[in-house]
Amino acid sequence: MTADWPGGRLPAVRWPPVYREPVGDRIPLHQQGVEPDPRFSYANERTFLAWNRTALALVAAGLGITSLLPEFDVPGGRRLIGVPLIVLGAWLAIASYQRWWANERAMRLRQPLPPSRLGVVLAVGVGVAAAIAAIIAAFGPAT
Amino acid sequence: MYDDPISADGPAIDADRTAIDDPEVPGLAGERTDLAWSRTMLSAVVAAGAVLRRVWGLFDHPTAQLIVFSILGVGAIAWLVSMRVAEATARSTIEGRRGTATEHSLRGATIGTVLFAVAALILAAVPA
Repeated sequence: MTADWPGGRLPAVRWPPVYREPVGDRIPLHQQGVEPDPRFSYANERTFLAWNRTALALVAAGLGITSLLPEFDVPGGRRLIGVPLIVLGAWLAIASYQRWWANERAMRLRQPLPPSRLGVVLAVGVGVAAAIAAIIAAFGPAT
Repeated sequence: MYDDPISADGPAIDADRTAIDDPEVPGLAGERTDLAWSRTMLSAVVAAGAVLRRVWGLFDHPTAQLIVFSILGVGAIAWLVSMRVAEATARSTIEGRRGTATEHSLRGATIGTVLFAVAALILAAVPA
């Protein structure tokens, strides 16, 4: 199943639903196409760094929840919220590198930039963690 | 060079063409990227500090402490090398070299962040 998108068509949904950024072939990047406008390369690099900061923030937040918060009334409650955030941070770091690679390749080959679902995955991940926290707060045993 | 187009002594240039149109003149993009690297490095220091603060008092689990210290150290080295490569060669004007250096430094930053996440996961698994 594919979805229409202004920049093209998103990759088909696969099972298991592990989303990977499109990385193209494995030819070394500098051997593909021609050097793009350096301003666009700098912008692509800054976008990667912004995603990497987000990943680091998720790791720090997840660690803070599992280590610094007082014990919840629900057994393993802190891990239930913190561990998904850390895993999401690790995934985001790798996916943002793949995203940078795919964007750089597209620019070198003078192709349109590939569509990305990084933002959607991040929003869903943080939303799920917030929902778990809300459920624990609302339905967990009272002290 | 982009002399004043109305100067009679300057070379004949197209008045409609400015530095903005010339890809060889990246303007302040490099400086903005350097600042983005600094911001990201600060975030990495905060994340590493959070791991370090937690692992420091983990005296009851010496094996986990050693493993986390090792992972944290390798991650910190990956970050420092990436930063160094980004500063030293990524601003090179040699054709093709900048892109290759950027690829290496970004890969190192990714590895560093993933290692910090692995260290955090181990700490989350160890009972407080």
